[in-house]
Amino acid sequence: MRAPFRAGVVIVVFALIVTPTLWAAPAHVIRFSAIGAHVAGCDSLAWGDVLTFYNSTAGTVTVRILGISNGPPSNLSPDHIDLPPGSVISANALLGSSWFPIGNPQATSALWIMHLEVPEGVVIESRDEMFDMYICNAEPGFLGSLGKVSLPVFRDAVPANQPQVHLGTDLGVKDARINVGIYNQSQSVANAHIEVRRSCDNSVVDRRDVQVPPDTLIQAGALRKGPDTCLANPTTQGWLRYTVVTVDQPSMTFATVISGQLNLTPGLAPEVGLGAPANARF
Amino acid sequence: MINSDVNEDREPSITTVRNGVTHAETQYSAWMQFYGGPNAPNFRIMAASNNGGGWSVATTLQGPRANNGDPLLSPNNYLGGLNPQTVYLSTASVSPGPGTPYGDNGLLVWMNNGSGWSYQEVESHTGTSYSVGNQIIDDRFLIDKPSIVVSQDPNTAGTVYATYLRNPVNGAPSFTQSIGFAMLDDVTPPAGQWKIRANVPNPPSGSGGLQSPIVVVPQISHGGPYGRVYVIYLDWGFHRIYVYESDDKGFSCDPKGYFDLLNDSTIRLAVSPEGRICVNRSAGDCIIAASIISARYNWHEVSDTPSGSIGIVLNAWDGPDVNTAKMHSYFFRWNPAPTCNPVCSPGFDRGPFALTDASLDSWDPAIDYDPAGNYVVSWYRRTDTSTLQYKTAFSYVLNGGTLDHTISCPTCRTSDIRRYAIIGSPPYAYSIGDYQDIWYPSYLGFAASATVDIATSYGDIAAFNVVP
Repeated sequence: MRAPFRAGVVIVVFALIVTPTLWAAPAHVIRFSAIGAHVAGCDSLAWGDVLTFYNSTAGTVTVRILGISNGPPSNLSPDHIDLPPGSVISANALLGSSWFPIGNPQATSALWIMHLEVPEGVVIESRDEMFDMYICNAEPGFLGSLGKVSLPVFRDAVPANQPQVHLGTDLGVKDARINVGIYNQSQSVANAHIEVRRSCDNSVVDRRDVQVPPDTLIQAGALRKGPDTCLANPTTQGWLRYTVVTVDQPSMTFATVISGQLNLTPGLAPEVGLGAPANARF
Repeated sequence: MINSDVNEDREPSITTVRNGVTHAETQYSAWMQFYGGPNAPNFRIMAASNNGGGWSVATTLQGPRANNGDPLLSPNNYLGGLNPQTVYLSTASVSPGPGTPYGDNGLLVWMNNGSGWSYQEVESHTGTSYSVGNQIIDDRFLIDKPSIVVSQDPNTAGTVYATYLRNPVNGAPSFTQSIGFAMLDDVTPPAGQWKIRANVPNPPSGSGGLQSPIVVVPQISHGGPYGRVYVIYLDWGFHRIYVYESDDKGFSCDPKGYFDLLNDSTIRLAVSPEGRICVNRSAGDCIIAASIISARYNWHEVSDTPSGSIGIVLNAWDGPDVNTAKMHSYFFRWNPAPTCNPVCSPGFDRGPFALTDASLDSWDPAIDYDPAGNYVVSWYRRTDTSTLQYKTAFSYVLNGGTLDHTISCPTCRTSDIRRYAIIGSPPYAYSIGDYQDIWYPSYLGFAASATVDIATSYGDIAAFNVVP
């Protein structure tokens, strides 16, 4: 009886020494890769997420990859990312094409959730980035990033039927379209109801009902912003929007807003054509 | 094996310079090498030769710029005249510009008569846009697969032709692509130097994206003092294969017709950036496989082609929906003078014929012909639908385009394209290049190919000799 007890103590001590992720927490990040618009000429747009980590501790820590949504992964290796202290590590560079979902019917785009276990002291940025591809060559040239916005990183799912409010799904007075991402964490098909609302009077300017397969992230695209004309006694400026997503299964949702409309006065202000609300929730 | 090292090698070409008196043959191969480790940004040309005793240690062909790529070879087998017993190699060279991989660039043609490599620059560009007065000059860049061929037409024997694509720098719609045509001979002033000739015309109906200009010449005279030379190119946007002909050594080119895949077939050209083969169609985990031409002028007279014919192969989608289509390799034949009764005009008279079965994607086909006038074709082919593994495959195709039989390759190995670094941001695809090559040496009874073999390590360029 005593020998197993001693062995257990040894195992626990050994684990404390060699396992730096003892206080790790779950994180769920949005991942995607898609070929975008080709307006004319030799340039085409590509969308992709860039996932980076910063280790603020004094020692090396390890982020573990637990799985992905939207189908089995293309490759399970590597299943972790080591983060040296004080440096930024790109998951894209380390993972290459591993952990892509296979079985996606779309050859030109893929969207999925990656489940992570992240130790204390790690900072994450998930970027929605736009890339310029030169496509007059048989092998496209990659001319660099055209800009980015930061995306939410989820800690856990929202319970079923609890409305998820995303304030700020607009780009000011610019005409814009709103894309809503919905990850169904359950093993049942989820029914989701989306409403885009004008903030000044809570009126619904667009709505949509979608179904989401189990363990799948989808994007409901191109919801309309609608006119900025408010009813009487507006509570906010007319161009403000918010989006409410209600899902009948545990889920994670996010919204992005896109506009190709340029400023009325060129050069007056930075052209902002992409946004992602970053609401604080209490 | 032609070359084995830790670098990622792509786009091999192969040919033979033959002495018709002594029957001595020297094989040459050249390829593009990304050096400095995975994801290395710099690339160069490597070349090796084989006199029968095995492949030499590869030589670096650097030239005046940082990067050099996309080599293609053509031999001059003549014992006299301009540069006899010489192999030519065309390549695009480029140095990165500020914030862009495309800067100062040019078309180089290397040559080797057995005593070493040297080059001439045929055309150069700054790779920038700049203003002159109120006009913006888009000084292009030449980056993809300049084609080269040595004429064996009796009236122009030894003349060298090159065709190449000029791309806009910044992609602005107002700056169109153009196809350059250059010629080297010892008759037209300045003798012994490269001359830029007229552009091969863009399609009269407009272009949706020019690609892959390939130059070929007959080996029998079609009459006229300057013989004939043909240029074949793709229009990606309109899904057409164009043929142009010059009977004045490139001083002008005349349209000879096109194959309209969009309206006359269900085949669609695989166009960048969607020209990729993906594992179960998932984005990112893919192989670059845009439609690029390989073509050779087959001079052999068979019953229905007394003037020879041009064999053309390319990979393309087998249907219009890129999400469900598979990539296959197809054969076409263009006939300069079909024997029709009462009247026929030159044109495509065979194909498209699929060279592969419908089950597995294939890409990068290459073509040559044997002494009987039939074709040997090689291509890359996936080994299954769930991985990115592939093998080089070979077939024997009769002159009329009928697939006769598969040529066995006992030494061909299964490679995994994931051994190479994935390119692009976001991850776009793996690449072993837009072509490989096959050459049928005279009298030796086998076809020699040069392909990318990454069965066990990075960057092997393999030579497979297969017996049709």
